[in-house]
Amino acid sequence: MRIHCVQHQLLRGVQTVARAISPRASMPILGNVLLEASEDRVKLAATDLELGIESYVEATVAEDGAVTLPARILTDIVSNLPEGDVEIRVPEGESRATITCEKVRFEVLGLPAADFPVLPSSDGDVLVRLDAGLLRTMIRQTSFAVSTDETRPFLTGVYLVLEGETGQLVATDGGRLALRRAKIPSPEGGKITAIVPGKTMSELVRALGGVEGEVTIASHENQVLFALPGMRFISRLIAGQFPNYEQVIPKEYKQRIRVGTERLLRAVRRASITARDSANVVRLSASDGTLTITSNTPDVGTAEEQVGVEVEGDAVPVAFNAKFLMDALGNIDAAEVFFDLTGPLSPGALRPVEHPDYVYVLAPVRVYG
Amino acid sequence: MTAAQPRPAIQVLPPSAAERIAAGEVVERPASVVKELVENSLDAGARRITVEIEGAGQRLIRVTDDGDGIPAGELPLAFERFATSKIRSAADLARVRTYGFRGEALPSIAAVARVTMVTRPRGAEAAARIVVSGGRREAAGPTGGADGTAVTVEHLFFNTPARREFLRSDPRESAVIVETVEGLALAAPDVSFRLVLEGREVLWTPPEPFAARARRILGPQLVEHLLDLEAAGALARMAGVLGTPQVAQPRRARQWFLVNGRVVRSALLSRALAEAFRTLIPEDRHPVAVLSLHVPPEEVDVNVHPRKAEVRFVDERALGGWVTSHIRRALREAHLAHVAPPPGAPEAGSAEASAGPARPYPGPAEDAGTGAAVAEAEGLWIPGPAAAHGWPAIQLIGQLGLTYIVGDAGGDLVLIDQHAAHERILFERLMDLRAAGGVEAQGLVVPVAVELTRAEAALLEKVHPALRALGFEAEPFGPSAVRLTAIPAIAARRSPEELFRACLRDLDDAGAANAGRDLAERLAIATACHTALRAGDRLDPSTMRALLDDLARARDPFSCFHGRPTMVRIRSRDVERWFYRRM
Ligand SMILES: Nc1ncnc2c1ncn2[C@@H]1O[C@H](COP(=O)(O)OP(=O)(O)OP(=O)(O)O)[C@@H](O)[C@H]1O
Ligand SMILES: [Mg+2]
Repeated sequence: MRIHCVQHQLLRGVQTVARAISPRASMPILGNVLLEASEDRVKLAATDLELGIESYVEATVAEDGAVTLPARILTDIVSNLPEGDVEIRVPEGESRATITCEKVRFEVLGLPAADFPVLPSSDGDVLVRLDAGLLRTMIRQTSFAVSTDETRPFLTGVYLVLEGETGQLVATDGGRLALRRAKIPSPEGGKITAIVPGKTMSELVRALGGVEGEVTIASHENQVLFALPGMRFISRLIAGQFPNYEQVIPKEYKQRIRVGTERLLRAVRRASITARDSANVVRLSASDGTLTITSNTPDVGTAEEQVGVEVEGDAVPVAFNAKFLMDALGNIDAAEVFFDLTGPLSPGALRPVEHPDYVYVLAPVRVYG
Repeated sequence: MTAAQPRPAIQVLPPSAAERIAAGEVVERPASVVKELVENSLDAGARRITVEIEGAGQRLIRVTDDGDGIPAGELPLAFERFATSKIRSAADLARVRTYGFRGEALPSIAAVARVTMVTRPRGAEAAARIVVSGGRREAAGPTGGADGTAVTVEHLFFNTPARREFLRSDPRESAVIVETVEGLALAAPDVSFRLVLEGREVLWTPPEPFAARARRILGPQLVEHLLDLEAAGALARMAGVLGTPQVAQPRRARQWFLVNGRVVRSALLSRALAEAFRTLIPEDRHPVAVLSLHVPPEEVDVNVHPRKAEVRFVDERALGGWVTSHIRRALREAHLAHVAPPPGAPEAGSAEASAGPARPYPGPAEDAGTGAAVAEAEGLWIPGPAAAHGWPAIQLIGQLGLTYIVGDAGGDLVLIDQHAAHERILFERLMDLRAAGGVEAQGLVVPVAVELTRAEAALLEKVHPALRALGFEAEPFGPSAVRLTAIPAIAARRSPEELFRACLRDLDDAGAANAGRDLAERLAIATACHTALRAGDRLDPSTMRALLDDLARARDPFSCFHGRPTMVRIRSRDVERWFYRRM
């Protein structure tokens, strides 16, 4: 193999795929990045067997071929090379690469490409195409709610639902639930559902940050493929039955509070200072145009803050985990929200005032003596 | 006993008195002989007592004192039954302040051994000698000898083979002798003791204050791990020395209780001590302690025979509670972190450091015999309670092996077990919430169905209120399942089902380590245990700092409630020794 490519493009590619590598890789080859040269590009790939990331870097290919190189060393080398043309050369039948850039020359020992796990080359069955920015928002608004509880794996992923003209992402850890809906060009086929691992989603959000254009979501056997301009994510799906989330979402409310998102977020963040010692509980109670937020921890202190709001319905004093509130308020992307309360023991809901495409349901903390 | 007044003569008690005070067998084993003889020496106002043992006490026991001695004319009487100089009638019993009063010890010993007594009251012209063997006088007459009394007991149980059969191994009998002398030495700190075991001096003490005596008896290995304790109240006065949790022992061997100056066995005090150390040490360990209580005589139950080592108190509950709370207070004020042993030293809590007579007392060759001096030479001696008090300020260094938080505490290296630390924090929070009557339950938007075994279902019925009080909401869901709609808010990060089952399981397990605690406490333990961070959890610096902050505010930050240490401290000077910066 012998290729030439541009240092900063190569760096971006290496950094993108290296995110798939687990720090606790079980086999040496899983700590390596695959480089595969053909036609006018080199494909980079890395995987932890759950998630595989591929990235394509433009290259002048003088000689086809493939090798795997340790991700850490490759990243360090490429990021420290001078800007300019990089040559990578691997003698036929060997797994030792010579990386040259201007007057710099590295020789790196790798492992044979044949030992690298095979990622599906097929593009899969295309399910849907949507805007990269929209997908990024949808994931960001839901994935923080996934569970870390390994005993219920089906909650550790984001639930993807495609049906008719809408796509939905849903995530819950049992205590709260985030749902983001979007109108998307009609997907092929009927209703499609999949539970995509939380790690895949957070890596995808990161990668989508620098991407413009369309993303194709496709399925291949029991895997999901996200094709972005210049890269592919191939992820295992989580087996299991996602909870029936529709019935979790309150259909009505006893009290509706309309409040500035940033204003409420700041108030909750302040109240949580004196809530940390307990289970991070803040109490809310609204009436006569005022929402009062309090917290107290014996031996530490108390906080109280009033926020001007619009209120509809009777007061429902209720307590929530401050983190649950802050997670949603920080991601809801709306100037104002409706905070719908249904009772001190039943779930509340946050919705943007502007549109009906996002809802966040959170169970209260029941405080009683 | 001081000899301010002239010593009363030995007389035989009237039968009425003799009947009332008979206390059963006097000589069970060599240690009983040692005890009787040393008590006689103390009763005679001795300032210096030497005990020599050969053949684990079967070949020879010799107790030499510098006390009052016995006038030559009274000497034969001393070996008569019910002959004593200490009381005159049964009525004197209530006032008796001496160890002895029955007039039974010497005749009982002389019945099963060959006893030679040489005694000389101060100012007497000569010493007198008497030899009694198997109850028969073999010799008597004047002899040379120093002031005081020397009693030599040879061939113990020579005429009672059955008794010999019951003796334990020589090392065991020797260990019991050592413990006996240690107890007597604690009861009389103003007396100098010397114990020579098979030709080796294993104990030597100058007259000294009680606390110093207690530290000496506990041994030089423990010196760095002892706290002084003092308390006074309406119920009692208490003084003593406590071993830190680090040196808690696998056996109850290093515990001494004194009541009104006498070493006693007291289930009450053992329990009070154990209670004070609860959650600070593992359940199968025993605190090291010397506790001396002075209680008004009317608080002591007079129905227990005054020769018996057991005591009972009139109001046991109140006294037990008082003792526990004061020990607890002393522990709370102290720095209880486990300290890594200095390079090359045996571990303080190890068998080596705590075994019976084989433990390395400073021998006469090494030094005049003071443990303190030996320790000082090694730089171990810290006078008074451990120098540092309370929880130290810790600067975070990082995480070790995904299990320990590493920190810098004023130059010392500290390791904090993240699981143990978090357990302690959560446990105290749960108990506080409960004490405040509050419950924080995190509701679930997605209830969790839990299938129950029949045993679990039966148990659930019993413990449902306690589970609720912690924050679990479980409603029936079909014939053999429940639906969890809320879990303790503190545990919101963990699997609800796993936590719920673990709590049920821990409650069911009657034989488990937590048995004996009340239900709420066991539930709090189960919840905290299954909620806490685990070994293997990667922690970011802010989480670690928060954990250290929370731990610093805990009431008992030095151990988790299973009694495992949360922190081990490695002294900077020991680190310096590792690198040969200091010798
Ligand atoms: N070391 C000693 N120095 C001076 N007098 C002693 C000594 N040992 C014994 N005696 C005298 O001998 C008496 C008998 O001793 P013995 O131990 O048999 O009885 P006791 O001490 O009076 O009562 P008890 O049987 O309860 O010990 C004592 O009362 C005491 O007067
Ligand atoms: Mg006596």
